[in-house]
Amino acid sequence: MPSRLPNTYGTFSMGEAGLSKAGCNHPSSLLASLIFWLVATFPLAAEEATGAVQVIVNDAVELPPSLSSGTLRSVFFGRMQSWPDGTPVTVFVLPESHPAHKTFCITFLKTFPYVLRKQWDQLTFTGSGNAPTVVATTYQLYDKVRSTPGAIGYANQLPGNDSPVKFVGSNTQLTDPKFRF
Amino acid sequence: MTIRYPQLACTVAALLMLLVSGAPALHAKDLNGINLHGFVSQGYLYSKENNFYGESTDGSWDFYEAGVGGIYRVDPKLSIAGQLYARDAGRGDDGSIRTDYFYADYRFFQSAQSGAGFRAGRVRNPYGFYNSTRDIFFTRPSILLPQLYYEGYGIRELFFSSDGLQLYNYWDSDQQSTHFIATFGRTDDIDSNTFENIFGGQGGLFSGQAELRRPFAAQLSTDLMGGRWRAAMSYYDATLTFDSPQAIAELDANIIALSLQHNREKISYTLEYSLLSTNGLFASPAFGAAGNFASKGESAYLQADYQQTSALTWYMRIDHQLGDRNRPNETDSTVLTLGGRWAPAPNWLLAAEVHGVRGSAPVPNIDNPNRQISERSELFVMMAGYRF
Repeated sequence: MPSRLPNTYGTFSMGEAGLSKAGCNHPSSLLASLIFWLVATFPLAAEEATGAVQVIVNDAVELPPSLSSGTLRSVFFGRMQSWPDGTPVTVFVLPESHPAHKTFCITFLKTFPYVLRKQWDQLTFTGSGNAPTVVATTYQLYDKVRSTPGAIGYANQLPGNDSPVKFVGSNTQLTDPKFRF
Repeated sequence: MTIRYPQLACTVAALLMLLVSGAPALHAKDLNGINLHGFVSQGYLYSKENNFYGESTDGSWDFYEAGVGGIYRVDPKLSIAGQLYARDAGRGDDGSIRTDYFYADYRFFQSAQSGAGFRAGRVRNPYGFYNSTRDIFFTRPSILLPQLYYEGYGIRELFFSSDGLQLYNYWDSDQQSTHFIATFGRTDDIDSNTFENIFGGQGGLFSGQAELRRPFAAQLSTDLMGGRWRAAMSYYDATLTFDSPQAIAELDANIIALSLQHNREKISYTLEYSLLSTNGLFASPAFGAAGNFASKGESAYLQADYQQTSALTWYMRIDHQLGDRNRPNETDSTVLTLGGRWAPAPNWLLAAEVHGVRGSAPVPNIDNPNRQISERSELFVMMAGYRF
């Protein structure tokens, strides 16, 4: 099961110390600290996850024997471009503002949508990979993943199906990889 | 106020032709298996005291960028990628179209959590968080880059990309992603104007043969917890040589940069530091002069970004540079930046920022011919961009 509210937010004080320390040798450290303090006191909105999502994968894909958060990050950050059988990885996502996209980013990738978007821009503009295809609705996303060999995406979990991964397509006959999210 | 419409018009026309070939989409277009992307952005600058990118003291539109590129997957291991690019920035860049990068990428190793490959051709040099996409408005942290990225006329071209071989490697684990990338550039002739600009020579003194020898760039970077923390260490080294009947010169330059970023849901902080070391030799039998020199320069900035909504971000930055450690009072400069960017739709981006500049290093000399550069200047910049 994915952890819905990852416990990775307790690192801020460490960062503050790190940044202040790095700024100490700098002639402008006082002003820098001031700016830092000003910004750090802006109100922070609570991070919320709305509704659970699961990864959906086209069932013609030969997945790696174990699917971990590391692999999922390789795929969704655009680094892994083909599956073990050579099929190109095709990633479908919802628009950045869609609640399911945000939930997916936080739950499975442990990141924020804007961090992911910056990574995709980096890929696109350096020619080192393809950014995912954005589709407008969860229905379209499901349909695209079902009909595209090598496709991966995510969808809302339906009642009674709390598996982190669901295989979709015409011929569901799969080996059962291990999941570690 | 001058606008070079012809080049811009051509580029925009080319981009529009590509656009009409497909239905509106949020990301790159697929054309016969080639995944295409493109961008165009137009800026406006208005400044007090000194000129930036054109005659900005009167208001300048002389700043635009446009590009179109694509990637073609030959087979699961091999792809070819390229981008054409045009930039106009006052007198420092004339809007001519050039090949930004063009390379073949061979992924010789791929596992579930790691991969390695090499690229051959014209490749982007990794340096800091932004050098590899420094000319694209959509990927910069602000309209104008911090001083650490050496925006000076002549230097940016040497720095930006190299013709050569690039090796890359990544490892993803549950909590961490690590990347290593190294470029081995080949020795290449460079424009003697570039050399003259770096050496600060005057009209035609350096008319001879200039070379950039064995540029090398490497970066080790790591992302923790899905990019909540990002850190990078970059290194760049190259030798510039110059040979003419009047003079010979050699300049060895290396840069070490450290980068750190913390991303939270609404706020991110970026801190980057660089140390530039140069060693040079100069001999001119014709003028009976010879000498050597060495200097170290430092640059650092801290930027904070506040995302008010997913479409609207405010940012501020303090950016300091010490051109020569031995002459701190003569060579230091500080730029304070305050700005905002708004993406009304995923394809569009608008940004505006103000810069308070103290010191002459951030002021492009080439845009201020025959005039004394003022120690302080204020600059307002706006930019609008479209991408596909």
